[in-house]
Amino acid sequence: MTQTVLLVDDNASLRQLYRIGLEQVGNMRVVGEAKDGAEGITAAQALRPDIVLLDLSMPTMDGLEALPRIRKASPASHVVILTGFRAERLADIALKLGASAFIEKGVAPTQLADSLRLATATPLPEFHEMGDAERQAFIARVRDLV
Amino acid sequence: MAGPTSTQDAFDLDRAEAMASRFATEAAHDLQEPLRLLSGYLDLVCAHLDGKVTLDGSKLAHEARATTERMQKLVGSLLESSRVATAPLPDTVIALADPLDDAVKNMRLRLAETGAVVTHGPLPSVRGDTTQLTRLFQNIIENSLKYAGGAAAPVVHVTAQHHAGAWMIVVDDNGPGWPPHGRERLFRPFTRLHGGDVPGNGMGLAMVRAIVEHHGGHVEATDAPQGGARVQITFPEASR
Repeated sequence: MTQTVLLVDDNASLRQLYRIGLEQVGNMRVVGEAKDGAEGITAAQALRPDIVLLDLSMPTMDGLEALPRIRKASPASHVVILTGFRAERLADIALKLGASAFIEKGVAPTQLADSLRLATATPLPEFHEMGDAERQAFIARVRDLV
Repeated sequence: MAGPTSTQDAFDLDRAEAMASRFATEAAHDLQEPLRLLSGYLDLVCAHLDGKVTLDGSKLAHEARATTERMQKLVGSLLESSRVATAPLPDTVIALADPLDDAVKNMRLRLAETGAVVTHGPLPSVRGDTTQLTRLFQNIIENSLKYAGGAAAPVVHVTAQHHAGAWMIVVDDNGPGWPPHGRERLFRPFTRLHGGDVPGNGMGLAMVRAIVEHHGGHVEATDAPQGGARVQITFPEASR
């Protein structure tokens, strides 16, 4: 079955590039786009995509703030975070934040769909709501790393 | 080139090197985005030319070229800012009203187009470079015009206060004010807090910071009392 994807990134050119890579090369279907975390939450709730591809750095509401709210808005969606930084440094805390994986932004568009399939092949990470203090501590840790 | 001849020269050199280094780090970080785009489009072009997939190769090539042109402009702006940081500062005392007036003259068509008005109270003199200070005012005014959009015509008002041996220059506008998030990044190169919704390459306020710091000053973004944006610049008092 063709997997559906919601793109959440403030850069329209990158969204276009990912859309071409996912739809025309990777046999996935992009069902929506959002330019910040707040729009991403609304779109995830309305569209219930299989995968939300979420940028970390965005205006209004960034990816780290949006992540738990997207998981709550669409619990069956895998959230894969796009980062401009070395993804393996963040992998160990991805699960605890509710993300299925981190993917580096430099990934070739022809490889993006395969990377997403690999990242979402495992069961959805258990999502437990963190208290504000715990969540802020995790966010601070990620921001230190990036 | 002659080496530093005084403690002040050595200090200026250290400051210029520190600014250049910080600028290079920020620029390298932010230039990665168009490079990723370019690399991405070329990846798709290659896949198309290799016959792995059938894509609109012409469109992709044009996107790649447009990205390259955007990068050229970014690098050009960066180079210009970097020159600001390293150019020797003339030992000239300038009445700040002069570069402000020059900025307004340079922007007269743009101001007429938008119906904008630029006013100022008494302004002091500072040691510096007239061309750079003109550019500083132009960039701040341009930023105000870019984000104006309400029913009222844009108004930019410049005032000065003397405090603890320094001059604080305050530029207020009547626009929507700074966005609530990311204010600390406003003066970084390539920062566009409104994403792609507003035209520009995110270098205008970065240039302002480069010019202010080159003049030994400090710049910050705060809120104007009436709700618009305020740019607050502190310049050292001209010593003679």
